[in-house]
Formats: sequence, C-alpha cells, structure tokens
Amino acid sequence: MKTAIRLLLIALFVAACIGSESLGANFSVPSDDGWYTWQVDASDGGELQVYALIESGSPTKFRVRGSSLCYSNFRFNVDANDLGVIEADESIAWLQEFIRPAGDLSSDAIIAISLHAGDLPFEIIDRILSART
Amino acid sequence: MIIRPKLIIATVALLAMSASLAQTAVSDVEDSTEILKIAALEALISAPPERALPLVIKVLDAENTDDVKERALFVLSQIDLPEAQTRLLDVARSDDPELSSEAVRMIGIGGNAEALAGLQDLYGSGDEDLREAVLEAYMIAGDVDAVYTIATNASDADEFEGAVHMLGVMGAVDKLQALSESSGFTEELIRALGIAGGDDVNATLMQIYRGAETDDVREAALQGMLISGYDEGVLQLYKESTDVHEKRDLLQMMSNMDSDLMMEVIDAALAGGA
Repeated sequence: MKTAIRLLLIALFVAACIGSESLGANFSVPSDDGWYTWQVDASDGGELQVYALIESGSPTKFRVRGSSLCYSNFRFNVDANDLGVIEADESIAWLQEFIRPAGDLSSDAIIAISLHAGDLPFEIIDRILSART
Repeated sequence: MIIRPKLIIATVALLAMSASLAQTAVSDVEDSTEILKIAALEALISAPPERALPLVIKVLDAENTDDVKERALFVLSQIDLPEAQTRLLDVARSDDPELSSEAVRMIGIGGNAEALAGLQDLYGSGDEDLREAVLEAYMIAGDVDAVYTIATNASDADEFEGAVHMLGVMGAVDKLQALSESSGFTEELIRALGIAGGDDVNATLMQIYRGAETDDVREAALQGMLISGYDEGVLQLYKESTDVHEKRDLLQMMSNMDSDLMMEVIDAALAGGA
C-alpha cells in the first residue's frame, strides 16, 4: 500500500513538472500546410494579427500585423485559416519553440514574440541576450 | 604491453578529429548565440524605450562579441532617453577603440543635439580614427556648424584638411568660402569646393584658376573641376590658353574626365589643320 501511495505521489510530481514545463503551451497551429492566423493583444495596447505558414507540417514563415505595427511587408495579405483570439502568452509559448536553431525563422519568431503584450516577451529577450557566448 | 604504431596513429588522428569537431561545435554554438542575440536586439527597436534600455545596457556590460555590442549601440542610438545618450557618450569615451568609434557614429545616427555637442571635446582628445569618426558622425547628423567649428579650431594642417574635406562632402560651400576669407584658397579648400560642386563653385574654380599665382593652386583648381565634372570649364580654359604646355595639360584633364567635349577640340583642330 505504501509503495502504491509513493508511486502515486511520484506520478503526481512528474505530472506537475510536465505541466509546469508546458504551461501556456496549449495553443498549437495545425500541421496541415497553409497560412494560419490568430489575434493576440499587442505590446502597443492594440490588437496583433499573427500569421504562420506551415509547409510540410512545420512553420516556415511568421508575419505580424498590428494597428500601429507591421513587420516584414506592408502589403502583406494572404488568405489564412483564422484560429481566432488567443492569449498572448499561449501564442508566445508556441512561437518560442521555433527560436532555435538560429536562422531566418528564429528572427521572425523573436520579432513576432516581441510585439506581443505582457512581460513574457521581455523575459524571453532577456534570456536570449543573457546567454553566454 | 605491446605498443602498436598503427593504433597510436589512429588514436592520435581520432583525438585530433574530435578536437576539431569540438572546436566546430563550440564555434557553431557561438555563431548561433550571436545570431539570436542580434535578432533579439533588433526586436528591441520597436519596444518601449524604458523597457529596452536596461536590456541593451546589460548587453554592453556583459561579455559579448563586438558585433553584438555594435548592434546594441545602434539600438541605444534609437532610444530617445537621456540615459541612452549618456551611455553612448560613455562608450565613445571608453578605451575600446573599435566600440568607441562605433558609439561616436551612432551618436551621429541618433542625432541628439546634446550628445553631438559632447563630441567636440572627444575630437580634441581622440586619436586619428576617433577624430575621423567624429567628423563622420557630424556628417551623418548634417551638423555643418560643428564641422566648421572643428576647422576653425584646428590645431594642425591635418585636422584642418580633414574638416575641410568633410565640409566639401557635406556641400557646405558657404562655410568653405568663409574659411577662405581667413586662410585664402588653400589646395584642400579648392578640392573641397570641387567635391561640393554646383554652378557657383564652378564659377569660383574658374576664378581661382585664372588668378592662380602658383602651379599648385592652378592644379588644385583643375582637380576641383575634375571632381565636380566641370568639363565645360576646362574646355573654356583650353580655348583661352595660348600656352602649348598648358593646353596639353588641359587636354589631358579633359581626357581624364572622359569628356564628350574632346570631340569639339578634335573637330576644331581638324578644321584648323584643313
């Protein structure tokens, strides 16, 4: 009986750990190819429209448009599957997965994250800038 | 224990390879970290200044590559807060020659009047590279008065020439004319006029050429016309000249300028010959 309780506690502890790791990571863009878009609160207080292009099941481009912000292309306009309104931190948690490896997509991800509302973008940027070279 | 030479060679080779691979891996990690840091710094440009400033300062204070720090200086130049400008001046005054010059240029890009004014002192105490960076910063900021002040306060010929050249690049003809009132038309001033260019300058260069008392001044006026591309003036001087050597020099200058007006000279010569 004691062993069973111990195992249950361990399982709960592991579940808690996994849960904390994936906190806010519920949001995910479907893996079917095409453009997807969703809305989040922007750092400037307005609304931010985030776009992701999925190719071969993985994102290959991120774009953002906002009331006072437009990154990458002022004429950017695509037919995208609308995923609706998403919490900024959830959107960030998904985008954050594509910061590494370093490359074009990571720059897009960092820029997109930086335009989200809240403290999390600055925490992420701080972590990147604090990494030892 | 039997020592096998082939095994030793293989082991050494493997060690060398692994050391090389490890080196590559470390280098890749450094590159990757640097790329991400630069992207993160670029993201800060659109961030609220009071949030971006502490992060940028942290990058400057930490151990980072010059490329990363230079990017941080650029972001700093875009932050419209007094602390950002103060910090730029601090880096400009630092002992690090590379970053110091970059900070000076960034002050030029930022265009903050107070920080730009602080560069005057730096110019006086800096080495040649820093002085050049200060002049570039003033050029970027379009601060003609500051360059003029440096020219008028120049402690030696090199400083004067550097400032005068920059006034030419900035097209500050009135300042060059003002300098000529005290120093006369020196060769550097004449060349700077050529760099500035324009109809008024062309007329002045013709006047200087015609009134030149030395070959050096005459040559500088011609150089000025070469720089400003004023081939009509050179042709005019060619037509006016009665000196064979001078005509040859002027013809040579038109050739150097790749001037279409050379055909006019050739036609005239052929007509004269016929």
